Amino acid sequence: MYKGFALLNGIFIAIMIALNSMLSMETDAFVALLIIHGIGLITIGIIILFRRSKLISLKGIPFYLLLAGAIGVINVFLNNTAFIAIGAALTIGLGLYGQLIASVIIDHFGLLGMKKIPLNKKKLIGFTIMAFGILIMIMG
Amino acid sequence: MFYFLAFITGIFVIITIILNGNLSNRLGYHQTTLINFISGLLFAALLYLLFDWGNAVTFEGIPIYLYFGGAFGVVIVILSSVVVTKISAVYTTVLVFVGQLFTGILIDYLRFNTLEWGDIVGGMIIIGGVCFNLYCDQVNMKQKAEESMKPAKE
Repeated sequence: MYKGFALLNGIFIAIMIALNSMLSMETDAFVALLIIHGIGLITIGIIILFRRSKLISLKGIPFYLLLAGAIGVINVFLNNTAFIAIGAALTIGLGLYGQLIASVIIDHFGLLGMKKIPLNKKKLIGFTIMAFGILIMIMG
Repeated sequence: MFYFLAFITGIFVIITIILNGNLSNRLGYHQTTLINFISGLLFAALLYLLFDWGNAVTFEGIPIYLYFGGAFGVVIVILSSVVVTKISAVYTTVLVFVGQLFTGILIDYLRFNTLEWGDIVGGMIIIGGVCFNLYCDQVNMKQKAEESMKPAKE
C-alpha cells in the first residue's frame, strides 16, 4: 500500500507542477505565486485546526531554517517558467536529475550538516546514462 | 536556458528537504509545513509588491482546478512523511520518479495531443540510469557490511 502511495506522490507532484504553471499562464507569474501559497496555507491551516495539535514554540530555532518556504517560492517560479517553455516531461526529468546530482555532491562534501559519504565513482556511469536519456527527451 | 532553470530546481528541492527535515525533527511535519507556507506567502507577497504591483489580472474564465496546486503541495508533503518511514529509500526513489516522469509525459500528451517517442524512450533510459545508481548503492552497502564483519570472525 505504501508503495502505491509513493507512486501516487510522484503523480501528484507532476500534477501540482502542471496546475501551478497553467495558473501562472492564466494570471501572471507573481499573482500565481501568491494564490498557490495562499491556498496551501489555508489547506495546512485547516488540517492543523482539524487535528487540534499543539503548536511548539519557535524559541531557539535558527532563523535560516524558517526560510525554507522562500526557497519553495523560487522553486515554484522556476518550475512554472520552465514548464511554459519546455513542457512537463523535460521540466520534471531535468529537475529529478538536478536532485540526484545535488544529493551526491552534498553527501560527498558533507554539506548542510549531512554526513560525508564519498561518491562511488561507478555512479558517474548512471549519471551519464540519465543525461543520455534527457538528451533523447530534448531531441525526440 | 530553461533547461538550466529546471535543473537547478533540483538543487533547491534537496536544500528544502534537508532544511525541512531539520525543522520537523523539532516541530513535526505539520507545523513545519505551516511555517513553510507562511514564509512562502510572505516572500511571494514581497515579490509581488516589488515586481508586479499594479498589474491588472483577470480571474474570469480560469478553471477552478487550477487553483488547487497549493493544496496538492500540502498533500505531497504529508504523503512523503508517511511513505518515507514505511518503505525503503530505493523503492521510494524509483516509484516517485516513475510516477513523476510518466505523469509528466502524459500531461504533455494531453496538452499537445502528440505523443513524443523521445519522451518515452528518454524517460525509460533515465529510470534505467536511476536504477543503475541505486544498484551501485546496494552493492556498496553489501561490501561495507561484509568488510565490517571480517575482524569479528578473526
